[in-house]
Amino acid sequence: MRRYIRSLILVMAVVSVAALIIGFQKISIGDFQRGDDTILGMRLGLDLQGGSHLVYEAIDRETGLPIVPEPSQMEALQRSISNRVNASGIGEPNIQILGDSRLLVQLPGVRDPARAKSLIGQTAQLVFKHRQISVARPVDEINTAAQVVGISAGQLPEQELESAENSTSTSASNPTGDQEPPVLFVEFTDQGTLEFIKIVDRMMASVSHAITASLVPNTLEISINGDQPLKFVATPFTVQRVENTNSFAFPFPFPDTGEEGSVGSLDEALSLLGENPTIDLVEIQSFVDKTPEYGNLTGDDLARAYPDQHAQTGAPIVVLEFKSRGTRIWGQLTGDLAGKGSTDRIAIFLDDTELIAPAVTTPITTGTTIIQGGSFTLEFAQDLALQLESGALPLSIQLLQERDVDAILGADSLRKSVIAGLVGLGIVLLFMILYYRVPGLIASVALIVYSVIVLALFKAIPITLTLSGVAAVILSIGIAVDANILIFERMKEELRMGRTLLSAINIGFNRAWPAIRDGNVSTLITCAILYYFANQLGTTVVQGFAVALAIGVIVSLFTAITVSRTFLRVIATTRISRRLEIFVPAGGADLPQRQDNETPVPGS
Amino acid sequence: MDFAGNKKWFFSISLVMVVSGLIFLVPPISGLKAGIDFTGGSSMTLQFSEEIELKGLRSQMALLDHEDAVVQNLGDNTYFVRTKKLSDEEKAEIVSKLNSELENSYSLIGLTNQQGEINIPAQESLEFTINAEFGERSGELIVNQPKNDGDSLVTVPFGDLSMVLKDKKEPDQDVLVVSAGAPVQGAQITLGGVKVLAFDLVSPSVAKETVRNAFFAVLVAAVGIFLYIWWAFRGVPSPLRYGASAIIALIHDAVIVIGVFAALGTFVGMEVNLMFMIALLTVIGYSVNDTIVVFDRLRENVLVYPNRALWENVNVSISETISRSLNTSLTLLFTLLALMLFGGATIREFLLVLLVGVVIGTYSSIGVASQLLVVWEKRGMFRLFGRSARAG
Repeated sequence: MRRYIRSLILVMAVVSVAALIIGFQKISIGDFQRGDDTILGMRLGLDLQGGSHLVYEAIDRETGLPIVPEPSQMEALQRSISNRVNASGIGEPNIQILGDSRLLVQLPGVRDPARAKSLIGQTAQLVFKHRQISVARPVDEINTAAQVVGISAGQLPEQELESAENSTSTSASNPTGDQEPPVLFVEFTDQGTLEFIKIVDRMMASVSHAITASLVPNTLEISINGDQPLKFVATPFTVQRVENTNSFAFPFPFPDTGEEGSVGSLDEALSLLGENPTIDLVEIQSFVDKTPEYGNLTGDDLARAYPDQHAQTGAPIVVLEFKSRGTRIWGQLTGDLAGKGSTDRIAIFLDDTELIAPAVTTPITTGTTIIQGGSFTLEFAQDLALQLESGALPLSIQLLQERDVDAILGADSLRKSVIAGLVGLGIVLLFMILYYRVPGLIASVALIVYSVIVLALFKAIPITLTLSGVAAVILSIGIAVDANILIFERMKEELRMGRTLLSAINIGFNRAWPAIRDGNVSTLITCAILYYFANQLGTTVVQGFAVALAIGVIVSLFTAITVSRTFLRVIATTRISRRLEIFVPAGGADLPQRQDNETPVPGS
Repeated sequence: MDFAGNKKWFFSISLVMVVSGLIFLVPPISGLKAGIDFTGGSSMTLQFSEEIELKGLRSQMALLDHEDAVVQNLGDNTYFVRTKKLSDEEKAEIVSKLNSELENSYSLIGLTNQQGEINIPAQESLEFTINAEFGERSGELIVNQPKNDGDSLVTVPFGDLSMVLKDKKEPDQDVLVVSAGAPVQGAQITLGGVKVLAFDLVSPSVAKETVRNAFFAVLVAAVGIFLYIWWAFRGVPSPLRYGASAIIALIHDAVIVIGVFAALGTFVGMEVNLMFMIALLTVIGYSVNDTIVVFDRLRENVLVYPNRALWENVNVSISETISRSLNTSLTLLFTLLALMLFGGATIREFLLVLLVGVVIGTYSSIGVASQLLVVWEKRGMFRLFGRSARAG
C-alpha cells in the first residue's frame, strides 16, 4: 500500500495543478500571463471563437490612392501578412483576397482593433543605409547658433531643481555644498528652440539605438567664448528646458584651464562668462546617410527575414534573404564595408525608425545574411525579424473596414456541439462502468483526469484550440480509452487464469504495454512528421493538429500508465479486492477458469 | 471464429469498396468536389434591417443550395457570407429570398382588382425593397425616401406598379396601396430589407499547397510508421511484412473514406473542405493505432506458439482482441453519434468522415492487415487471389 501512496500523491499533485490552471479564468504569475474571457480561458481559433474582421485595400505607395495590382502581387501580400500573423503566435488567421485589390484578414480572438492593426502593420518602408559614426556636423548648417539670443548663468527655480537632479544623475559634476551649483542658460529664438529640440530628440533617439546596436550615441559639443573659453559635451540627459521659455539649462561647465575644482558659486560662473559670450554648437552625429551610388536597397529587395538560432552557438539570430537585385547590391555594400569595424555600419530603417545597425564582418554575395548580437534574446530576434518582414510588404495597403466577427462555425452551433460532446463522453463513461465495473469506474476517473490535464496544457503552453485541435483531442481520447480497455482486457484474462487481483493488475499492465507503446509511438511519429512538414511549408492547420495530437497522446500514456494503474493498485490493497467478480465483465461467472488448452513453449 | 478462413470474403469486400471508391474518385466521374475552402468563391456582406437568427440565415442559404455557405456574424445585423462563386442573378435570388423571409415582408399574390393594400407599421421614412413579377418581367427596387406630410406620403412608380404610402392617421400604422396597370402575378414588398454592403470574388482560404503538403507529409509519415513497425516487430519472423501490411491497410482506409465522399459528392453534391482533410488525418492515425493492437497480440502469440501456423495465430489473436476492438470503436462511435445527432450542423460533415473512418479502420485491422500477413506467408504477396498455392 505504502509504495502506491507515493504515486497516488504524484497523481493528485498533477491533477491539482491542472485543475487550478483551468479553474482560474486568468492566470498571471510574473511574465506568465494566460487565460482569456473565453470558455475556461482557453485560447480558441477563429473557427471556434471569432475575432477581428479587417479589410485592407492596396494603394499606391506615393499617392495613397487605390490601385489594382497584379494578382501575383496580391498573393505575395497575402503570404507576407500570413507569415507575419503566424509569427505573432495568435493562432491561425483567415486571409483571403477579395476581388482584385482587397484583402480580408480575420484574426482569432483579437477584439482590440489597435492590436489587430499593429499586428498587420501599416504601410512601412524598409530602407538600408550606410552609416558612419562620429562625424562632426556643425550645427551652423542649420543655423541654430545664430538663433541664440542670450547666454547667462543662474540658478534653476526650486521645483525644477528636483527633476534636474534626477535627470542629471549621470552627469559627472555634482558638487556638494550648501549653495546649489549654478547652471548655464542658453536662450534661443522661437525658431532656434524648435531646431534645438530636434537636436536633443536626435540625441535621445541615438541613445536608445546605441543600446541595441552598441554604437556611440550622438553628442553635442558646446563651446562658449566668454572671458575664458568653456567647452563641454552635452548629452540629452544633461540638457533641460526651462518650462514655458525658450531657455535651456546645462550644468555649468568647468573652465577649460586645466584647473581642477568646481564652479561653486554663481558669481564665479558669471565672471567666467564675461560680458558678451558667444557660442558654437557642433553636433557629433553617429549617422550620415552615405547610400551608395550603385543603388538603394529597400524592403522590395528583401525576400524574407526570420528568427533562427546560430548553427554553432545556438544564440538567437535573424536571417535575411535577399532577392536577386537585393543580393547584388547587398554584395557590393557589404564588400565595401567589410572589415571597417564599428565605424561603418549598415543601418536598417523602418519608416524613419532605426531598427538596427549591424557592422559587416565579411562581404556577403549569396544574399543570405545573418545578424547576430551578444545581447540578442529570442524575443528580440523574433520582433526584429517581424519588423524586417513587415517592411518587405510587396504592396502598400490601407485599412478599409474593421469589425468584430463571430466564430466561423457559429456560436450557436458550437454550444450545441459542446453539450453533445459532453453527452457522448458521458455515454462512454457509463458504458465503461457498466461493462468493466470497478476498472471501468477507474478508467472513467482516469479519462476525466486526462481531459483536465490536456486542457490545462493547452491553456498553459498555450495552444490555440481550433476544430483541428478538437479532432486531435477526440482521437487522443479514443487512444486513451483504448489504452485502458487494452489493460482491462488483459487483466480480465489474467483473473480468469486464477491470478490474484494485484498480480493480474501488474501482469495486465505489462502485457498491454507493448501494444500501447507501439500504437502511441506510431502516432507520435505521424505527429512529428506532420509538424515538420507543416512547419517547413507554413501549413498552420496541419501543424496545430499535430501538436494537439502529440500532447493528447503523451498525456494518454501518462494517464493510462500512472493514473489508472495507481488507482487500481490502491484499490487492490483494500478489502474490495476480495470480491473479484466486480473486477471483470459479465459478473465473473467464468472465474476462475483456464481457457487455453495448449501448453506454452518453454523458454520463449 | 475462423477469420483467416474467410479471408477471400474479406478481400472481396475490400476490393469492391476500394474499386468502387476509385471509380467515384477518378475520371470520368471525379466525384470528389472541392469546397469553397479550396476553390474560393463569392463573399457578401449583408446588412439586415431587422434582427435575424444566424441559424435561420444558414438554413435559408441551405434551402438555396448553399449548404456549404460560411456565415459569420459581424454584429449590427450584418453578416459576412462566403459561398461558391455566384453570378449576379444568383446573388439577386439569394437577396430576394432572404427579403421574403424577413418579418416585415408582405406579399401580394395575383392582384386581380389591380389594387392591394398592406397595413404596415408606421414609418419614419420609407425604406423598402420591392421584388415583383409582372408578366415576363421581374425586378427589384430599393427605395429610401423621407416621408412627406399629407395623405400621400410617398409615391413610387415601379414598372406597372405604383405604390403610395398613405398616412392612416393612426399612431402606429401606415398603409401601402399598391396599384397595377396590368395584371401582376405577385409582388414582394419588404420594409427595410437586405442591403448588400459588399459583393466580391474571394480567393481560397486554404492555400493550394496545403493539400499537397499534407499529402506528402502523410506519405513520409507512412514510411516512418512502416520503418518503426518493422523495427518493433524485429523479434518475429518477417517483420517487414507487418510494417507493409499496416501501411496497405492505412491506404485501404484512406481510399475508401475518400471514395465514400466522392460517391456522396456524385449523388448528393457533398463537397469536401479543410475539415475533411483534418478528419482524414485523424482517421489515418486511428487506423494505424488499431492495426497495431491486433498485430501486437499476434506478435505475442507467434512468440509463445511458434509452431502454430500463422493463420491459426492470426485467428487466435483476432479473437482475443475483438472485444477490445469493438469496445474501443463503439465508445468512439457513441461520442461521434452523439455529436452528430445533437451537435451543431456546421461540423456534421467532419464527424461523418470520422464515423466512416472508425468503422473502416476497425474492419481493416481484422479484414485486411492481418489477412495480408496470412496470404503473404502462404502464397507470396503478388498472388493474393491466385488459385493454387505456391510449391514449398
